Amino acid sequence: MVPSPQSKTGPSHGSTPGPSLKLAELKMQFQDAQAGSVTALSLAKWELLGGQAIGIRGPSGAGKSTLLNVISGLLLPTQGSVWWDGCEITQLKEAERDRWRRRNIGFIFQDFHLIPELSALENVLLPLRFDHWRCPPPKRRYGLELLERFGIPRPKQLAATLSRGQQQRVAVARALINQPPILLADEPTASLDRESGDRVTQILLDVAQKEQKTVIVSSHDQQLLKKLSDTYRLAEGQLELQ
Amino acid sequence: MNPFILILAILRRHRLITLLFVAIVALSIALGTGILSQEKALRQGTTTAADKFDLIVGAPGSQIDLLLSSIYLQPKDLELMDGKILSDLATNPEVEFAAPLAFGDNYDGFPVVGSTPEFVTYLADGEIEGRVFEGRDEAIAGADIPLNIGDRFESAHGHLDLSDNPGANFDADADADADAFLEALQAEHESLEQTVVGRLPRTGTPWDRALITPVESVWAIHDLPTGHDPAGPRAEAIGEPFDANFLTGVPAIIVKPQGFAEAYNLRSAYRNATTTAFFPAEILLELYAIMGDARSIMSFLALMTQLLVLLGIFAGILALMQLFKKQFGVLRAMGAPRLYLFAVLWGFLALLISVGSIIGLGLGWSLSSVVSALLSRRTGIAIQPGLSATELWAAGRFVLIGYGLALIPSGILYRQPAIDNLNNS
Repeated sequence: MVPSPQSKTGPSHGSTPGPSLKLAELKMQFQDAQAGSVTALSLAKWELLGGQAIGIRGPSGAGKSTLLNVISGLLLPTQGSVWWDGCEITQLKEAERDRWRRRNIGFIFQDFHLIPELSALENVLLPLRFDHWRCPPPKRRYGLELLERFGIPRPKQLAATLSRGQQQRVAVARALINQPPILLADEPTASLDRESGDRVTQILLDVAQKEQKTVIVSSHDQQLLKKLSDTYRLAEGQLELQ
Repeated sequence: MNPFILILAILRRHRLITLLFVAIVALSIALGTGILSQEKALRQGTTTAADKFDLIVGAPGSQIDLLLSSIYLQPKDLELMDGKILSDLATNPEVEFAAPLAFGDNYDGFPVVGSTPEFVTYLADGEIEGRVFEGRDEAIAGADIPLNIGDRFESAHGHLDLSDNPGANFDADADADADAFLEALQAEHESLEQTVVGRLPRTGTPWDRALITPVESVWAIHDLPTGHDPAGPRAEAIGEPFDANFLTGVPAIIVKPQGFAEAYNLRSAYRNATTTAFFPAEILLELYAIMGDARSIMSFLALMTQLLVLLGIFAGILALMQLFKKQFGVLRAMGAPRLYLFAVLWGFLALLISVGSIIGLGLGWSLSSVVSALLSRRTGIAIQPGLSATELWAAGRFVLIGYGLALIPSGILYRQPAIDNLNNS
């Protein structure tokens, strides 16, 4: 399935969109002690244009997180392939997938998963520590800029002392620090109140629109989903455009 | 790659557990270091104290008792040799000098030992402050005796083990039975006031806490023959030559042989039915062998303790890893390489082990210093512990083993698929 070209958050004219996604003959099965083999995903073909921002909804346990894990390379499917532009990540070795993910994906989690003992800025810069002993000054400046943009007035404030909304905004900044072309968000507003959720939603939409990232959001939040270009429903391992 | 930011975060989050682990490592290292350092310091101290004593001749019996009495001035019941042995030795051409030792008196808890001017000169190594005694009413003070040159004192009979508190008033601190016993002895003890005329340099031996008086004065106040004809011209003389006809029993004679071969000849000649002769070094070697065995056992136990500590810590870390799991999974989702997570966990463990070991070395040295100070106070032997290559190697071995064992939990983490940590928490 190809998303609608008239998307609400579609790529701006003249900019370079994020990579496109293609899933082919993808099947994800788990072994369950009682039920035996359970098929979580079964997608013959699913394509997403680069620079789109789409939502995935579905009941709990439908496999939304599994889908995000498969398309990020965290989880290898039982069969089938995942292509991001010309790169078939299902063929990469684990270390290569780590490297690819580090350069291409920004992950946003429902529970933020900041390191509470580090400051907001240290959390944002954390992904840079995987490659660098010291943060490159331009990246540090970019981190400060993101925090300012997302309304975090004190970058040196400990993450543990931030409000939940602020924590999620720091987490979004962390996801963006490497300027990845793809953003994956797993229930990014589920742990937030309406106001904070709206703010995070707006940030995600802004990023998607202005920076032409490919954004995939798994969510139950209708307010969020209706602002995305397309929403797919995941049920019984199948994706269905709503 | 910089894992330290996360290591510091883990340290901050788990302060108490970290402190506990560091303390356990430090204590186990301190135990091993203390044992090694103490044993070596004790060995060095006792060897140094025995340096001046080449050959000891005494009545047959326990050579260890003789050694402890003569060199370390520990009160022991020693059999007496016939006094003629002393005159024999003194005139033996293989002997440079032979000095009798007479024990049994004290001044304010400090042992008063009777001997000869030659022995004092030898012990002082030519660095005496003042002069050597020339009359029976004169004495030489050890470096730690609280008397000045010119001070007068009167010795009391008895040589109680007052080493716990030398200098304490002799009668005041003794219990009632001891008082009665000493009073009875004192009644038979002539009084003789003596003047300190010289002070020995510090030797780091129990002799620093002894007073040396002419052996004749000790014999005289006990109404014993003084080694000189009371009717002759040397009636009031001190030191050699002694008159064999006026010598009393002697518990120990310190012999300075003319040379190496003579020392062996003399040891052989005086090892018979009436006397025993030995080099202190040979007895010390036997004692060191026993100490060495004990040290080996204790060191082995200390090493086992250290290994148990490491295993305990790593068991704790494996449990702690359950708490880290989700965080590690998130880091992998963010693209952290497996090696990064390995470095974080291994670095955290290595830091615990390293810091604990450094603190443990300091603690062990401190522990050894305290024990040494107590032992020095008790025995007068200068025992100075230090951290040598032996202790450093023992601690280094622990650290290396620890670093090696730390690979296990770190390796487990390295091999775990990212998704396991992300989902199973």
